[in-house]
Parts: sequence; C-alpha cells; structure tokens
Amino acid sequence: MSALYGYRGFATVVDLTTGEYRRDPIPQQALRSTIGGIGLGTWLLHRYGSPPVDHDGDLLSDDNRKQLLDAALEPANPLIFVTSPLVGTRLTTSSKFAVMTRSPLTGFIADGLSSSHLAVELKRACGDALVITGRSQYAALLHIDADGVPRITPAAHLMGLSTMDTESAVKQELDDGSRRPVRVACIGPAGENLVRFASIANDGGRQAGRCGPGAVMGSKHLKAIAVRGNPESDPPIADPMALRAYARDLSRRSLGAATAKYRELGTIANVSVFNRLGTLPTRNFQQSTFEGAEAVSGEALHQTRATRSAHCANCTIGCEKIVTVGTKDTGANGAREVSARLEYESLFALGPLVGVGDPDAVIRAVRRCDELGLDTISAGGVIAWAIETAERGLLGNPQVADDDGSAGRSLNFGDGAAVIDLLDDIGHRRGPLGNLLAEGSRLAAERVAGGSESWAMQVKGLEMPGYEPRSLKTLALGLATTPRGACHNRTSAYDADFSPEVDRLAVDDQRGKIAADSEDFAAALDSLIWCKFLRRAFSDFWEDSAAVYRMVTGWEDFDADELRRAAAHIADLKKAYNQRWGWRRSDDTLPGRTLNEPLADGVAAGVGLTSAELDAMIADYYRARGWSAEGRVDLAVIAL
Amino acid sequence: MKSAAPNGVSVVVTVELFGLARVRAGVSSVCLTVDAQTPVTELLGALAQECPDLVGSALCLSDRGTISVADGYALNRNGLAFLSPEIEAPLDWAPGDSLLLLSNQAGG
Repeated sequence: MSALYGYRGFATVVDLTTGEYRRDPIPQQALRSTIGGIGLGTWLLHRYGSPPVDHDGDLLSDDNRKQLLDAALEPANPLIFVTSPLVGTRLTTSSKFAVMTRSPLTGFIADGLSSSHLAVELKRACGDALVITGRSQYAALLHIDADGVPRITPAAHLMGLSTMDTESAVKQELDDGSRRPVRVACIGPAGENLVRFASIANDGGRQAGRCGPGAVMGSKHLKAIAVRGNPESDPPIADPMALRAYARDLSRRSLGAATAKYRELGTIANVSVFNRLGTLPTRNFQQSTFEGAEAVSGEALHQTRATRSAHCANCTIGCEKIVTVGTKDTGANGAREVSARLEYESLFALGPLVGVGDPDAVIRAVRRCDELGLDTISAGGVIAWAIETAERGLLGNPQVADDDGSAGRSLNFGDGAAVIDLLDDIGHRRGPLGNLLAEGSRLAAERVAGGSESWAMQVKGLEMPGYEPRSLKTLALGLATTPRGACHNRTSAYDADFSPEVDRLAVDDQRGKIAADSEDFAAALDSLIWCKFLRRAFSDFWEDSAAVYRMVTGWEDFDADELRRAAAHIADLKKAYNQRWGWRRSDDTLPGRTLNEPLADGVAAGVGLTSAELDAMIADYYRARGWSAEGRVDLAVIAL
Repeated sequence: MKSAAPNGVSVVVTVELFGLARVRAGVSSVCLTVDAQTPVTELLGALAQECPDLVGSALCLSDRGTISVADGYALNRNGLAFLSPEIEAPLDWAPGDSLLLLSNQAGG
C-alpha cells in the first residue's frame, strides 16, 4: 500500500452500549471514489448502517413508515462525523465536516454539514471519521483527546442546558490550562427530547441542522462530544509548496466580487430580492410575497441593527451576521447580550413563513432555536402548518403555553411572541401541541388529517426551504428528487432559475440534466468539502478542485473527469441508501399545495406547477442520471 | 431623478436596487427617463450618472468606455426575465417597466 497523504486512512468506531472502541481502516479506493465529507459519509452509512433486511423496495409501506422512522432512534443507527482531505490545510473555507445518519424525520439519508475548529480536531483525534453506534446506559459525554482514546463519562449535570451553555460547561470542565481548548459538538433540550428535527451544535452556535441528527444523538443518550487532537497527527500533504501557493491565490479570490454579497450583507440579502421576484414563501406558502419584507430585509437590518460578521475557522468570507436585539437579565450574572446568527433560511422560516414582520421577534426566535437545538427551517415550517391548520379549525382550540406554564394564546400568523413560546413547547415536547409538532409536519398532518397533508410543506418529511418552487421550476425538480428531502443545499438548481439560462416560470425538457448536474456539483463541493459560497471564486471549479486534490493526496492521475465521476457516484450511493430503506417513486414529489394551487400574488401570480409537468421533469432527471424509468439505481454501485 | 431621453419616444424606467447596490447608492430605486429603444448598456450609463457610487462596485466601466454590470451582479426585467449581462441590443421599454440590479448569488 502506498503512503497516504491528506487522509488518516481510518475511522474511530465507538460503541456506546459496550464502551468499546476500535479503529477501522478505510480502503484507499473508497477514499478516492468518494473523496470525503458527504461522499465518504454515504459510503460509511452503507457500511455501518445497513437496513435490517437488505431488500430493495418493499421495506416501506404506509403501515410501517412510523416504525421505520422510530427505528432511526434505535441504537443500531450510526451517527457519523466525517472530515475531508482538505481539513487541516490552509485552504479557505476547508474547515468543514459532515454529519451522517438515517433521519428520524424522513427515514432516509441525513447528510448535514457544519464548520469550524471542530473539523480540525476531529481529524486529529479520530481520523477521517468518528462512527458512533449503540446507546449509553446514562446521559453521557464522549471525550476524545490527543491519545485518540474515547472516554465516556456521565453528563447528567449537563442535561437540560442550552447548546451554548453545554458547550461552555464542557470546555470549562475539560480545561487543563492548555492553549488549545477542546472543541465541542452537543445537543440542546430538543435533542434530549427526541424532537425529530433537532440539530447538533458546535463551535459557538454552528449547526448541523437538517433532518434531525440531534434526535439521533439524543437517542444515544449522548449530550456532548469533546475532541482535541494532536497537531502532530495531521496527515502529510503531498505537495505542500504548491498547495500553499494555491491557498494564497484562492484566499485573494475569495475576497472578490463573487463573494461580496456574503461578506458584506450575508444571505439575509435574499429577502428583498426574493420578495420582488415572487419567490419568498409567506404564511405557509399561501403567498409568495410578504408585505413586511422590507422591515426584515438584509438591507434594513444592515442599517438599523448592530451587526457583526462571524467567520468559521480558516474562512476568509465571514457570511454569518450576528445581529443584536438587546440584553437579557440573567439574574446574578447580570445582563447578557441577546443576539443571533442570522442567515436567510432562519430569517425566512421564522419571519415571512409564519407571517412575522417584527425583526426583534424573528431574531429572538432564531436565538431560541439555537439554544434549544432546533432546525430553524423545520421549526418554522411545522409552526406555519400548525397556524394554518388551526385557522381552518382542525386543531380544536390549541393553546400555546406561556413561559410560566399557564395557558396562553391561540395560534395566528404574525404573532411573534406565540412563535417563540411554541418553539419552547416543541423543544421540550411540552403539551399536546408541542408534542405533536415535535414530530415534524408530515407525521403531524397524518395524525390530524382533514386534508392538512396537502399544506404540510415538506418533501420526504423534510420541511421546505425558503424558495418558492412554483416560480423556480428547476429548483422544484431538485427539491422533489434530492435524496435528503426538500433541501436547497444538496442541489444548486436555483442557480439556473436566477439566470438567463432558463425561463424560471416554465418547464422544458432541459431541467433534468440541469438538476442532475447541479446535484453533482453540490456533491463535489460537499465531499471535498468547500463552502458553497466559494463556488464562483474558482476559475474552473472541476479543474481547480482536481488540482487541489492532487496536491493534497499525491494521486497524480486524478483529474477533473474523475472528480465528475466521483460526484455522480456519490449521487448514486445516496439514492442506493434510500432504496435500501424503502424509497419508492412516489417519494419524489412535492406537497399538494405546490401541485394544485397557482401562486396567488406577486409577479408570478397565476403560475402553477402541475403533477404532469413535475413528472415529466422527473423522468428527464432519471434519464440524465442513468437510472431506470422508475428512478431506481442498480444497487451494485455500492460495491464499486 | 431623471435623465434626458436622447431622442424618439421617451419612457420612465425604474431601476430597482437590491443588496449591496442599494447600500452603496443609498436609495432603493432610481427613475430614469430614457428612449424606449435604449439598450441596457446605455440605461446603465444613465444609472451611473445618477448614482456614481455604484461605479466600481455594482457597475464597472469597460475598456470601451461603456458601463456594464460588475462581476457578482445580475439584471432582471420586471421581476420576471433575467437578462444576459452582455446584451447590447435595444430593448422595447414600456412605461412602468423596471430594471432590477441584484446580486447573481442566490444561495441561502
């Protein structure tokens, strides 16, 4: 076996049930064909998370969907943290890692990404991946220090703490005076209470948010993970001089026009644009414009609020905008600043989607989600569903509990205070309504019925992001087909819609190829792992990335074509994983509202998307992928 | 704010600014009176005159002395069709038309 550059070549596997651990080698061919991050993570999910019966197709029926979702919360479901060959280099935005598991919200692949110092320490302490299986007998902290030996210690004293307080407490406990602190991943009350869209937080509030990895972590009775590796464990780089020169050049380009929006205003700049283009989902996707959009727009917040930028470790862009709304009395500790990391998806979901136009209320709601460890998109989505369902009289007379536990207010769009109270109810599974919504909008709608399934705005169980698919037809296809569910990050199909390349309001036979290509692009980004906001800073993404990969790994015959093949292979592997867990053709669809109701307002008023139009695009997509007409991939890809 | 139409039928086109363009210009929109057959490049030239702070950020001066959108920006007509930044042919502007100047990055 040749020397290994860029990778550690093994995964640390910890069984929380027995307390045992081992280091499993990862074959070089697997590393090369799946790169790292989400690609390697998918390969590892196949390896460690096989279904109980390796059966292609008949696993899922309407009768046993709930059982399969619940099985994601059983000890056998692995929770996997995966780094990449670029982690530990000086390349801008490369300090990222993937969090992989089977989602208790969708039943399918959950492939999250997060960033910052934790990525570097994971690679030093655990290798290319940390695989966690089993379930601790008690609330636990998993600590892996420079010797690479996992230690499982009681964490009952941490239970109930917010994500921020948990991270602070763990860092304080493990502080040994070293200049290098431990880095922490943890869950909040939502993860402890198995809320199906609970997130995992790290490095001061960054989140692996979507699909409920925090619930899986909670199901293992694992409150926090603390890692601190040995810098001498960093794997060698094949051509460090060339990589250093490229890193300098890329950092310079990362400060150019291609990232100006993200650096200066952040993604919250989307609000005013999306509103004007009729693609800002409002009041549970009943409208595509919001009369209060200007007040919560990025431009307005930039001018009226104290805002500062936050950078992930080793990042030159600094897309996150931390917005302050005031102070909070914390008793003996005095007043503490109340601020939130604000980005478009959180702002949309807890603002226009629930009809809230008060910036302070939105910021406080985002902050509350981060404290509880809740995915903001799903939280806003399920609350929007609940408000509409209540307004239609299908929820009886739901009462949101006030902070003091007394019966509170009814549900209405635009009531920011009620949204915050309801977030608390969901995060603690408090009361019938909080407990119902903690299940996510698909299960909640199935339980309530009465037609509410059609306005549960989710795909495969995952709540929709802040892009209106009826006025973004290419993205509509991406949302319907992406293995993760309704996710804008695993497909960048909206790039075509926001360009002269296509008519975003119409469908045609080119969208299948565009959606497949954009998904491959995202797979490459997410596996190397580059931040998506860097994507236009490359002169040629595929050539540049292949060159970087050669510099890091020393695999001199790796070229752009092989990187493209790897990206397509990763897409196949993801689909194969879902097939093994019962994926059916009917899972690739969009919510009833999207397919049955034309847009009611905005520049695209009257525009809709029919089932026939979506089916035609899906058929084109399957053809572009080389899958069967029913959308199935040959499971032999798993062995490749 | 208005610019004189060079000739022919004149119309008022509203240039709507988003994101950094709005921040740089300090206004959210600018009304320009232009010839109904004005190419986009000339419209952008009129915009540059009204909002000189946009030159060097959202707008750039080409070697030929014409104004175009800078890297990282996009143009959209009436909130519907995105325009190619290279477009130099005259467009039929109608009263009430809008030209949107926005980031070409839609990631969120």
